[in-house]
Amino acid sequence: MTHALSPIQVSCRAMSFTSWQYPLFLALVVLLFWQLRGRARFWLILGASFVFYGAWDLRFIALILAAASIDFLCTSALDNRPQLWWIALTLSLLPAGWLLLAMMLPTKLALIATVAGLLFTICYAICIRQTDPLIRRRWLLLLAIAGNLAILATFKYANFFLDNLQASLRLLGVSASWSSLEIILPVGVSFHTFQSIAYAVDVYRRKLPAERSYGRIVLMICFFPQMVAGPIERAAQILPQLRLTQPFTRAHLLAALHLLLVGYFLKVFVADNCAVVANFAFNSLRDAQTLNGQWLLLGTFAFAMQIYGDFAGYSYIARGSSLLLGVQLARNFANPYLAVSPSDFWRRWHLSLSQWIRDYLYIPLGGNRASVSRTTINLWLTMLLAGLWHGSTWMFVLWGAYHALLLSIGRFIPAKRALPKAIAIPVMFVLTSIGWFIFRSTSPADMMRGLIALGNWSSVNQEAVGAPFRWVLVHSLPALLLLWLTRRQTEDAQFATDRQPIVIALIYVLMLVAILTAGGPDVAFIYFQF
Amino acid sequence: MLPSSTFNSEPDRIYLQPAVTRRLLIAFVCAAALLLLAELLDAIVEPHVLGKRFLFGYGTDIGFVRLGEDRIGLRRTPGREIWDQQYAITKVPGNARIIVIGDSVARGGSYESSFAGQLGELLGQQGRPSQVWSLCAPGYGSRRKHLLAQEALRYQPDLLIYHLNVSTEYEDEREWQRYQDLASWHPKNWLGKLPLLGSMKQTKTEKFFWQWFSTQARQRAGVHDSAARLDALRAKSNFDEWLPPMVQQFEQTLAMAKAANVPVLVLARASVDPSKEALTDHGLDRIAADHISVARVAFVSSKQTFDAEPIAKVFADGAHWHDYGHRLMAAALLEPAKALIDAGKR
Repeated sequence: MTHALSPIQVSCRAMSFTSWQYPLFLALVVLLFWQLRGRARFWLILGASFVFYGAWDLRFIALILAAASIDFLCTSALDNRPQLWWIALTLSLLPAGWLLLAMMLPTKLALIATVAGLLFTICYAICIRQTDPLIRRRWLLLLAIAGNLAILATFKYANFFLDNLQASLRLLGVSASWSSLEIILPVGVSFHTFQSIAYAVDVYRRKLPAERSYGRIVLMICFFPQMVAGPIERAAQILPQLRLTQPFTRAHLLAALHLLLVGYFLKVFVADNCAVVANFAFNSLRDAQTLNGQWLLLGTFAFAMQIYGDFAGYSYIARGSSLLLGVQLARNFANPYLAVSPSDFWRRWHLSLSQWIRDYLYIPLGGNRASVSRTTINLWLTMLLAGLWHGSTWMFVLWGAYHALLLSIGRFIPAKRALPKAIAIPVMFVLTSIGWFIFRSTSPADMMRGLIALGNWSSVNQEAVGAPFRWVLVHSLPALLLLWLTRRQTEDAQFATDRQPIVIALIYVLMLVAILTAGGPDVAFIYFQF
Repeated sequence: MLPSSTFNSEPDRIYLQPAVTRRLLIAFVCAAALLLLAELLDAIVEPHVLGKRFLFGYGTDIGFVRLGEDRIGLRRTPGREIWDQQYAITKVPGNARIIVIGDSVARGGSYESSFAGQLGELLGQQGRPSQVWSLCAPGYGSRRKHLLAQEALRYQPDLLIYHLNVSTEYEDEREWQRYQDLASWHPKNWLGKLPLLGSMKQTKTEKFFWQWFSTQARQRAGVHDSAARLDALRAKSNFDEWLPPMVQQFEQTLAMAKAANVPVLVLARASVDPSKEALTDHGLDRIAADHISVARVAFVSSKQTFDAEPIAKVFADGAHWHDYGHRLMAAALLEPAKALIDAGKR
């Protein structure tokens, strides 16, 4: 992970949920929010979201404006309200204008944004001039999807494609040599791109009317609690809430505090401390240091706990923060390590992504209603793309392929042959952890070194594994206990809905003590890079 | 294969039910009360520690506890792990007061077996009853020894024995950083200053995180604290880097003692050079010798004291001494100490 994180690792601490600035920022925004009424609330949250995202890099806001302009122009035309040419031109050039303002100087980046804006306006004009409404709608949808994917492809995959093209040409004996582009990966770009595409598709499918306020679309994309790592919201759910007219009650405050507490516990106590051992093991593989089997197994288990604590923790903090503003975000986790099968795992892990993939990729491809071979192809295609969504390296594609394989095998196991829960859960955890080993490896060479490590059980020239094992145990057992406490609930944080207040209070005390004494290193959220 | 449920709407609704709200409210109030109570109890039970925990030995009077009108207790506290001792504050006529300032080498395995305790015994046997205070704490470099000396001089000693050493300066750097962090007003440190939870956090870092993971392991795991420590460890052998700040601080301590009219006996450290299986003074003898031109400063060389002895008999490891080494050192310090005390009386 460190490999992929390296360019943004430093900037990820700009205003991460675990930075000291964030609680103060959130408290200030919440206090002001509930003092204001009407449009003032909207402007406050929009401004706060710009501050939050701009704290990473002011230039990133241009991307938000670009995505919002694409969505606004295309969806309003899909709703038979095409915008006037000068409005379209102005909105298309907004990102370039922002870059000029943010950087104070005309730059190459602003020039590229201007050209892209003009190109988009021309395409938009061509689309809305189509007389056949069916073709016009299809072209507009295509334009919306292409526009959003262009942002993603440029900022996330450009170097991946160029490097692979170069390697392929060399294999064919064609001399090709160019250096990688200097592109900063904007935080959360994959999340808000998918959210934007979902919005355009939903309007195309007439599931909801196009939003008439450009500002609200901007806010939908950059709403600060969820913009950097989701959940990937559906417009039908989030847009009405972004009118920000919900009443604030004591219930909202308490529920939000509960979610924040669980989130910080999972991130600061579980994930960040397990990260020490996971990083040691995987950095050793990366740096070609000798590693034995004990360390590899411990490192993989530590990473399984780290990524769960990190992402589930983030999701709960996002939901808690949002609820303080009266906005309910989608559920992202449902006790993932209690999954009994590969398909069950995807019903519990990163729900907003798996549901997005189902609704906007898997089902449009034909889903599982076609033949077995077609369904299998759909499944593989979907999972390979899901893997690639996580990052522009082949290791993520391999991880997607691994899960596609698990899901494919799972399809052929009849329900009556399923293992008993007590066996199925640990088996699925081991299978998931193997996936995390692939996910965390930085290259195929790392993976090979890991496999070699499995054959080495000698402790000569190795760091002692005993104390790190105790460290991982101390920091992962409470999270596993939380999973067990909520095994009959719909999500990991739901331990407080049916227990005596004093029991909940004791759990809160333990969580607070764990958070405030965590003392581990400050580790950037893993999913911020995606 | 992929989730078949509809996209979840209003996921937080379950937490907003009145019955759950009531539970959460009671739970939050109880949790806050419990934590508050624990913090208050900690403040009542360990008041002398309160507020000193986060100074990491950089306060002057840490470990000095007044026990009534005329008694001072020296207490082992976090950040200043000196031996527990008690003394009358008012000096008894004819009794010399000697204060030893040093690190773990000078501290010894116990007060009685350390050269400080032994020196008191020897002086007593020679009809010169004395109080020898041991203000030696593990990991103490010149910066914190200066602060200790500052406090020690308030008790009007007749002699200050200063253990001159450079090898633990790197500890200062790490602790100094933590001290500066926690002494600052910065909001990132607010929660860390809670008496109980703050102490627990420091303890977890010191006793578990730093103990359970080697420096190299932390470094490879990308934990930033280890990088600074590794740099410091590397620099430990680089006397060129550490000597100038140490000497500068040492000179300030000498000047302070001179201003207070207190003689200083400098004890220059030696350690075992494993490559030669011999003692080395790392040039400290020369530095100490350079400063005896200052009035009422003398020095004793560890290297000269132990050179004739078998290394294994004196040294428990490359730096620390067995009780035998402490006895030898007490004997070596006896005459120069007597001379300086007598010169001070004239």
